[in-house]
Amino acid sequence: MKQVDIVLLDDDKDICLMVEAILRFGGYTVQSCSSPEALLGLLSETTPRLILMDMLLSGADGRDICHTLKQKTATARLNIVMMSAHPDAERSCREAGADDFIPKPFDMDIFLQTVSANLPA
Amino acid sequence: MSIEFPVTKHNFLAGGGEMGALTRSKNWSETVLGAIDQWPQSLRTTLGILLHSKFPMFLFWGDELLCFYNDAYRPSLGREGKHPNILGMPGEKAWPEIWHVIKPLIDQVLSTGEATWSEDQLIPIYRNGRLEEVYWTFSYSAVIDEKGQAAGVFVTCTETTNLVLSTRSLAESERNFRSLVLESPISTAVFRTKQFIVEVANEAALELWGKTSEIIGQSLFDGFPELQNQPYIDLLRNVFETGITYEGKENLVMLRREGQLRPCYVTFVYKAIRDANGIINGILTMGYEVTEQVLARERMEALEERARIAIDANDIGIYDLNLQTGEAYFSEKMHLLYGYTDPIAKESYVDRVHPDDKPMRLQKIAESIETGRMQFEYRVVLPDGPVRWLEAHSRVFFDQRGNPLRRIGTIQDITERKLFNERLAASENRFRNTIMQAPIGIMSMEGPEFIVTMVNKAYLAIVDKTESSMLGRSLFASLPEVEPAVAPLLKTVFEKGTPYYGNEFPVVLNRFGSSRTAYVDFVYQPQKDAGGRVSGIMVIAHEITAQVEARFAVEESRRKFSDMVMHSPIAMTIFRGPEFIIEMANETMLNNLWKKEAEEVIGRSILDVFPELNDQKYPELLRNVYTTGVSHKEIDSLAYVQQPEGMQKFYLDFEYAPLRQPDGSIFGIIVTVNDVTGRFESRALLEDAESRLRLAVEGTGLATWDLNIQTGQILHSPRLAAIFGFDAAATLSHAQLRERLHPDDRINVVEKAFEKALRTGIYDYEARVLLPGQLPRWIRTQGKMSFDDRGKPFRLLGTVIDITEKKAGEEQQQRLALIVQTSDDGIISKSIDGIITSWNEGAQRIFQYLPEEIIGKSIKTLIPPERLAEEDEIIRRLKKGERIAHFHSKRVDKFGRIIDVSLAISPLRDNNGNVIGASKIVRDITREKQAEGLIRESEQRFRLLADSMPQFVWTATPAGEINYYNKTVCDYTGLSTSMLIEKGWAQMVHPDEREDNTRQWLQAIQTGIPYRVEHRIRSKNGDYRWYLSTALPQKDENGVIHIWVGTSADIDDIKKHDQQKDDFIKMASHELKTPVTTIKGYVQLLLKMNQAAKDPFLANSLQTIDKQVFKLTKLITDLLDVTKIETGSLEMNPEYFPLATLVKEITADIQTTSNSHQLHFVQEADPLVYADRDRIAQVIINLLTNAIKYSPRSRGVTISVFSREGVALISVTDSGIGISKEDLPWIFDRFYRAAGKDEKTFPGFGIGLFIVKEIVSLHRGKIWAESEKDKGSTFFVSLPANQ
Repeated sequence: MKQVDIVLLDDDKDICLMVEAILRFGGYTVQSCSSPEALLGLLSETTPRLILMDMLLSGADGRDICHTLKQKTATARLNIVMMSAHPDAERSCREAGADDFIPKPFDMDIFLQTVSANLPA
Repeated sequence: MSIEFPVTKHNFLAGGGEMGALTRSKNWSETVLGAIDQWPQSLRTTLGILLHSKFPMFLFWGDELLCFYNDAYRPSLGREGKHPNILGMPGEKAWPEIWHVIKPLIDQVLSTGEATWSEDQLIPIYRNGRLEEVYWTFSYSAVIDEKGQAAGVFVTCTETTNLVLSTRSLAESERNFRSLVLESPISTAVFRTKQFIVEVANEAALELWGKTSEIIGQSLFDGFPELQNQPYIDLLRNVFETGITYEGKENLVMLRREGQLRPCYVTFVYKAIRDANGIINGILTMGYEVTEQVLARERMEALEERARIAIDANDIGIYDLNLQTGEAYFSEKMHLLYGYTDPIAKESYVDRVHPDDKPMRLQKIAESIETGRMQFEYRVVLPDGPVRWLEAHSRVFFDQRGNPLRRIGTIQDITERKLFNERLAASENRFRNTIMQAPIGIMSMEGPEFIVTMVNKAYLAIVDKTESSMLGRSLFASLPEVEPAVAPLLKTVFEKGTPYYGNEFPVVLNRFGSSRTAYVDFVYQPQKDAGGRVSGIMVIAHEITAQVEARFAVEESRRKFSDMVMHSPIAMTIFRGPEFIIEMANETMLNNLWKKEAEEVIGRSILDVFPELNDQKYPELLRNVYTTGVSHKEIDSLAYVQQPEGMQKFYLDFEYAPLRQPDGSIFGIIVTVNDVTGRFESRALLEDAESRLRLAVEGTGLATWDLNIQTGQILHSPRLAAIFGFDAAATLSHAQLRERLHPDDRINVVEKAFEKALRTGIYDYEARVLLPGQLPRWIRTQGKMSFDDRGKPFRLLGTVIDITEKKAGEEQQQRLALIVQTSDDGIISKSIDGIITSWNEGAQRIFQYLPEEIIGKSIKTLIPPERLAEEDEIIRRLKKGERIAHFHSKRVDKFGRIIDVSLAISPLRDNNGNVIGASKIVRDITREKQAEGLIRESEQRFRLLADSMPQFVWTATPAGEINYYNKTVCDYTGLSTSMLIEKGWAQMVHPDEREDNTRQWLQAIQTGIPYRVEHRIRSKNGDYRWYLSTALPQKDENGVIHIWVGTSADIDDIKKHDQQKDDFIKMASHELKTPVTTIKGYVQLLLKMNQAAKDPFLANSLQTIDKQVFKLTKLITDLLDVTKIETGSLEMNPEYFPLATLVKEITADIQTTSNSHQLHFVQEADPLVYADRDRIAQVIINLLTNAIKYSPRSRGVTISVFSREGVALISVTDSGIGISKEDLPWIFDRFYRAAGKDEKTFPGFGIGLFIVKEIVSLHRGKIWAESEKDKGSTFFVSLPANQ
């Protein structure tokens, strides 16, 4: 499987499609998934430059996944940006190890700036 | 017949000494006898005997009674007298001066022939050139001649002049001695023979014995029947038999006085009298009565004892100031009271008086010069800072001219009492504050009509009434709607006197304009009067309508409690049920006190295990605690406990505290005991040692003297010399003695006494003797003046006794007597059978009885009937020699009034240490007791209320130290108050909140701003519940905080409920935002993508959608904020940042999206603030967007940052539509929108300024607006700035 810039995890398929569209508009290659299992599957095949991940994932907590990834040596160096519409999400996401946070709903320009800022050089 | 023989042949004349020679040589032929040769043989023979005799002899011979005499006779004729002329001279011629005396004797002998005998006959004769008084003892006998006829008178004689004169002088001496004895003030008597016949007894002796002179001549056995059972006869016999002098000192003798035998004290001597052969034939006794002195001393000792008890029992210091000379006496304890370890000069005492009390003290002292009495309380500051309260009592004594002479008074340490009252008042105040400020409804009612007498704010809030509408009226008049539900309950409580606990009790209340069912937890607590009757009911109510569904179940778990008991170093045990079954007892109790194994006692009644307790007070106390629920505490209580080594005496400090079920009923008693036997016994030992020391008493020694008034010669005993400071062997003159008398006394006392003695014969004075290098000594002199026939004094006879010690004692006694008499405390002595023996003024004041009305009556006269058992207990303890200190009780006065008293009772002992009575000090504490009672009642009522509140109540000192937790705290946490206070409140708070709570609490303490935190508190089961704790400072009239009153309410159910609501809102917001995210993302993407296509409709449509989506997002965010504000869950993440920098950034951001208005940013300062940056940003954005929104027709908005007096300020000024005066106060309220047609045209929810205000408030900041309709508005925000 080919390398992608960004792997996206969101349980809301509509949001996945929308974010994918914006990222592609921004010029990035992107592969999205809607479950943690799928994400782990993807990560076994490819090493993205950035993971974009929603916090509340219908049965799983993005913060736990973020924490786990940051703990594992294989994935520890991956940049992770988390997103959520939950009011008090930012602090807990950052505590879980997220490199950055994007509140939902977001402004497209700010979103793309944040993504760009978190890509490794 | 004539016989011729030469002279030498005259044998009868041979020898015969000088008179022989003279007789031979005399020319007898010229006499009627004729020559010697012719003398008859009878004459010759007689002369032969005469001249050769060494015994004085004389012969009258013949009709002419011619005189012959021998050498032995010659000295009686003296010099220049009759010798030698009368030899051969006729008697009449030789003895003309006495011829009339002797001629009849001669004639009698011559005529009768019988001899005569005269003894010590005064026959003055002429000799030595004068007529001398000469005494003779002589015999005249007839000399019979050859014819058988009496021819001469033969005189044998001896001159007894010397003998007679010396006998006469002996008789004089004897008379003198008798006079000495008889006149002496010393009782003197002589008993003769083994029958002890009273031979001599002087007046003093008769007086001493109580006899008349008829006793003289009688035997002691007959005359003194009273001596039969006394040891004196035996003593006399012993002296009579052994000759060893007996000296009795202050011996007790039963003597007859006024017809009755009375105990008297006598100091005396029995001395054997021996005859010339050294055989004892009598006894001399000398003595004097010392009853008065001994009794005075005993009285003094008793008085001293009483006063000392009074003084010791109350830690009293005594002082005695001479106001004229400045001399001062201070008792031993005085300097201790002022905190000095060593005695100090009197001027220094005032140094330690508290500066604030000095003027009052001076005023009181000045007043006392007018009134004669003084009493005040004052403070002294001890060296290391603490203050001691002292009470001064004194009396001023005046001289005859009315000038103040002496001040005698007492100083007493009353700190304990003062502090107790202060603490009690503080406690009352604390509880009153607590109650009035308590967030729980409290109301008190009196009488069966349930008249409301007290109601707090929280109660008024529950029922929606004002204080004035409820006070003084029946509860049902104010709240008729509650009558059906609560009247039966209240009546039951009132009648039965047991509290009623209502749990989640539904009651209909008409309030806030509607009638609704409210749920209330409450207690109806009966209030009882002194007689135990219910006088009213206290209601403690807590509305739980909101939480009614949240079940409040407190489970009774005694696990932690038991742990505490088991491991306590204080002996503890728990008794369950009315039988006092020992449920548990800790090791200290089992090992140290009971000396029993746990198996022996657990499950058994304490009264079965220790049956000896049944006879002691403890079962009654336990029952009392069990039934009343009032804890009982005692210190130094005496208990007897059976132990393996026998019955042991213990002094215990103990407490019985009731254990209650959650419903308030008592199920047991927790007992804590501290064994203080060691402490108590060492104190008792000390007291014993003290009393032994007091028993050392000095004796008295008497000196005698005899002064000859005419010559000034004085005879004295050695003791007198010793008393006057001379060597005992010295012989002193009267002048030498006089010189040693104190000059003042010599003039004022001794000379006056002498003048009196000249008039009355009685000499008696007390004066000082000055001894070189020593303190003056006091003597008492008594004497008797003797007068001669012409009434002229010739002799003064007397005694001297050193009374220095007695005098010193008297001074002390006088002082003590004054103290005892003038003391405000009653000082009473009683005998061991309870008969009152002394009664001072203080006692009279307290009990109204005059001394003569009460002395001799039983002490029980003063005891109310229901307390009579007390006296038996007191006597029992006194008999054991125990002292009873500060015993509070009640007594009754003459008029039946009950008086509260504090008693200190000490045993009085005789010389042998036997308890013979008691001295008690009674203090009337009725007033204090009443005041204390009122305050205590109030304190207890409030304390009870505080403890009954289901919420936590606590109080803290201004320094933030918590000093009280109510029972609810202990029940919930399972910790005792002392453990909570000792270990601090933080131990029960969840670790996550501790740090923040501590910081907030310290801030509250420093600033005085009310404290308010939400935190989790751990229960005894180990789980946590949420509590809202608030504390308000209580300030005095000067605005100084004196106490913090805190409460903690269980908000766990609300909190959980709110959490759910909060979670719901957050999820709702999340769920709303999720679709918005998709829409917004696509719209913005489409807009970007359409930039190339340039379809105007599509572009406009997409922009519109984007704008509306933004508004929707803001709306969702604002609503969420409002919800958070309402639930108090708006979180702050404060940090330090410069305020102006933030404002400048935001202004720049908003300027980029607003073309219509020019934003002017003015920076005067850039203060650092500690705040949530995002929230403050939200505030600024809100104010700026509002300013733009409400100034549609203007173009400028000015935003400034500045700082004033440590406060950071932001102002936002527009020149828009402005706000009307009517609207201005309300604009920060939720959903408030200004009325008016212009305003209504502005869209909005009315929540923006509400959120802004809440955010600012949470930062302890302020927001306000200044505005004028149609002119524009300025909004100000202030935030605390950090330097």
